[in-house]
Amino acid sequence: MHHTDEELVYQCLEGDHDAFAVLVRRYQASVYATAFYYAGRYGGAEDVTQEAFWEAYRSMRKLKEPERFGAWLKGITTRVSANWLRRNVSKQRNITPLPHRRTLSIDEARQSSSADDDYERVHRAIDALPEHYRLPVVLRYMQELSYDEISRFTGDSRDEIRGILSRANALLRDILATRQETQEQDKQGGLPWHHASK
Amino acid sequence: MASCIQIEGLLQSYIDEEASVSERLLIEEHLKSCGACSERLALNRATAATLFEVWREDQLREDLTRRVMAHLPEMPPPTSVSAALRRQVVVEGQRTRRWLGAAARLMPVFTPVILIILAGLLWVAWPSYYNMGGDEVIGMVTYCDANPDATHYSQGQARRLHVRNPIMPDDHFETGEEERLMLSLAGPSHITLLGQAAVQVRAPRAIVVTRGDVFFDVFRDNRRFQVHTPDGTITALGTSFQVSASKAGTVVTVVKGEVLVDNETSFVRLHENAQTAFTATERPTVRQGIDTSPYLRTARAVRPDPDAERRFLTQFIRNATHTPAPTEQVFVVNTERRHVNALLLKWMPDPYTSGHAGYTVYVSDSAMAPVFKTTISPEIFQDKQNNMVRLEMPNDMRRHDTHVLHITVMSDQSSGPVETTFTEVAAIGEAS
Repeated sequence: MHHTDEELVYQCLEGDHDAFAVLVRRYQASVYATAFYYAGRYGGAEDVTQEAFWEAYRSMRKLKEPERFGAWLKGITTRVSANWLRRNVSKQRNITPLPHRRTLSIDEARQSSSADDDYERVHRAIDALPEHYRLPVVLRYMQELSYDEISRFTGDSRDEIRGILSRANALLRDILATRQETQEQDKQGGLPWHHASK
Repeated sequence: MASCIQIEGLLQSYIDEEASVSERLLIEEHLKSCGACSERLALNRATAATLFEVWREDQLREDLTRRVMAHLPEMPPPTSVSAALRRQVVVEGQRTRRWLGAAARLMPVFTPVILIILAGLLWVAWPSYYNMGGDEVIGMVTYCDANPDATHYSQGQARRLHVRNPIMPDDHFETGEEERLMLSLAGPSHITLLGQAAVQVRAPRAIVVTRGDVFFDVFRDNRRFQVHTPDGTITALGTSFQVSASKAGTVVTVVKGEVLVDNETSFVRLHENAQTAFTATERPTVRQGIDTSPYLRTARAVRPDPDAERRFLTQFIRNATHTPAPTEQVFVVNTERRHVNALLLKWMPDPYTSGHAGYTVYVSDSAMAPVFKTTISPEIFQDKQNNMVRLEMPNDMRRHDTHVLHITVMSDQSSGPVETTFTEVAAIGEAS
């Protein structure tokens, strides 16, 4: 039987833990993707996800509009991510801010270069998107969420999400296409500089 | 037929399988005939595929629910009011706020009104002597039964005269018949106008008497206190004396202490219980052994207003920089080895009704060895009819064999700053 967020929130407030478990199951993908977007490159996605749910549970009584639980949860996730980054990242400032899967040997780099380069290229492309576009894109492509799920979590309407994703895809298509060309030029001219430096 | 721009906006939802049935049909129909859109669709699909591919590794596969639920924190308990009650509180809060809002809107109107009323009350209640420059005020009227009109001139202006009037330098005071006035001046000294008198206070220690009977109590001080009359000048150092000025001349009667009287041609030194009558040119004549008690009694019949006196004491004595240190008065009584039953201490009544210092009396024998000590409570000095106290010797000390008793009287100003001057100590014993 399907309960709305609002019903589940009221059940939680009456002390029903199972209702909160339903909410966690419903939103963990969104929260995780958000956490990954902010803190994933430092390996904090899972920690942030748990902390965000705990924080949500702790401050459930402050929730003014239970029907907008998702958007409220997104706010909490953002805040918890920011706190997590403040707590943890200052200690490891020398870690590169981009997700890093690069292998060490040139041979390996050559073999897996296409997948790894894509990874870096996509992240750079996403960083180039307007701020407002980034989270819906992450939610859509990392967690393969439906437009409805994204809209519930970001608080935007379904049509807005649809517009955002359509424009974001067009932008990404263009950015990635340009990168592709320059990379191909690089390959013709020899190894890219970061391979050469190894 | 839909336009390419229209279709382009729908392509992404078509890829994501989020397009409605009608949209899907529209797109598929368009793609059949539009190569550019088909190409765009293929590119968009490729981009989406790249994105999905890139993130496939990062996707959350594990269910975090169990981990989250395992360490779920405590939810703070609900506030005591139920939701319904909370709603009611909110409604009432709004009502209160509305009422306060009305009050707040009227604030600009009644705040100035209240301020004006307060200022008016303050102006009315503000004691007149506070309005005077504090440095200029040299004293205060502490008793008045005179007609309030036209008996007081301050700085050239007639002022209504009443108790607690401040006294400024060069103030004039006049009393009619049966009217009495007491002026307390910094110093401290007290001037009692006993009817038909005219006095000008030039300074705290310079007084002009033009007519009438005036009694002076001057605190012992090393500064001169001068009274000017048309006939001459009276200079006093810590005394009580009466000056009677009339057309026939000036009469000075000394109750205690010593004064110097001088006129144009001569001078005379007056001691206790002495009286002199003189005019400006005549040599003063002196009569010794005068009974001064009637003068003292008349003067002491004028009791200062307690409130005025208290204000005077706090303003002019407590805060005076030369507050007299506790004084010690020493007397020696020759007992000629007779047994002493009691000691009699006499003093001269002062013009104060309150604020007296208490005294401790230390009695030692001829070898300065202690015999006994006792205290005199300050209330005794408030009774102006009384001028002596009897201190009983302890029984075991009555037969103490000494030919001399040293009596030291020390003041204790905890009850007030007004010191009493003891004039005489006598020993009362058995007839030998």
